[in-house]
Amino acid sequence: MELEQELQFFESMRAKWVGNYKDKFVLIKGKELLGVFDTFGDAYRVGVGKFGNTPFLIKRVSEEEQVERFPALTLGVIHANL
Amino acid sequence: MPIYEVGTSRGVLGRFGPVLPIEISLPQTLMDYLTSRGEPIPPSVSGNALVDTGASITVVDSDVISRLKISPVGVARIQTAAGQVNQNLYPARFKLPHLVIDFEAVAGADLRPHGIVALIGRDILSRFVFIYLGGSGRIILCF
Repeated sequence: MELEQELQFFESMRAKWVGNYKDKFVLIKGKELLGVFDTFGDAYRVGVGKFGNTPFLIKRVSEEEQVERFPALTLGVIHANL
Repeated sequence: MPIYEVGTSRGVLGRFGPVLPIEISLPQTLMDYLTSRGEPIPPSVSGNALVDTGASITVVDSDVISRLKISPVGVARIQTAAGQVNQNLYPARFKLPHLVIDFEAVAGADLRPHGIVALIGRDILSRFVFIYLGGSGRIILCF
């Protein structure tokens, strides 16, 4: 998976950032925090401006990670490879 | 205001589910960036999307994401049959009948063999009224 390094950095900083940036969007490249934004769109515009069409991480700062679910896929109602 | 309404039959709707035409392309921000640099913009991909009220977020076929050459900008924790895994998320533009949405983050999965290019999840449905009339084989999507 791409963005492993960025995700590890985010997880290492999550507790600290929850205190300062809860519900904001952080923009991360490598192990560097490049900005904190009110919306995903603002973070994405800055990320594309700096890095173009290359991977960078935008994460909403929250205490816990939300788990996304697709029962039709995971249960095979629609057969697909996740 | 209805943006899409289609009537088939109870049998067809029951068999294929609530399907609507969709066109998937780069998000506007990325199109603007590539245009400003004189770089080519991959053509949009058309197909059918299945409305899936069980999906918490929207899923796009992995091959479509590859063809559009969109780089990931997110990671989500996804529940699979084998447990939870981290998976990349991608921004995309969805052109639905009479409506265009620049979407923050969709997951990728191999959907193409099953005749659809996307699963419309509750993240998109949260913006709409969706009516499923199983008895008469009709679906209505309102904005």
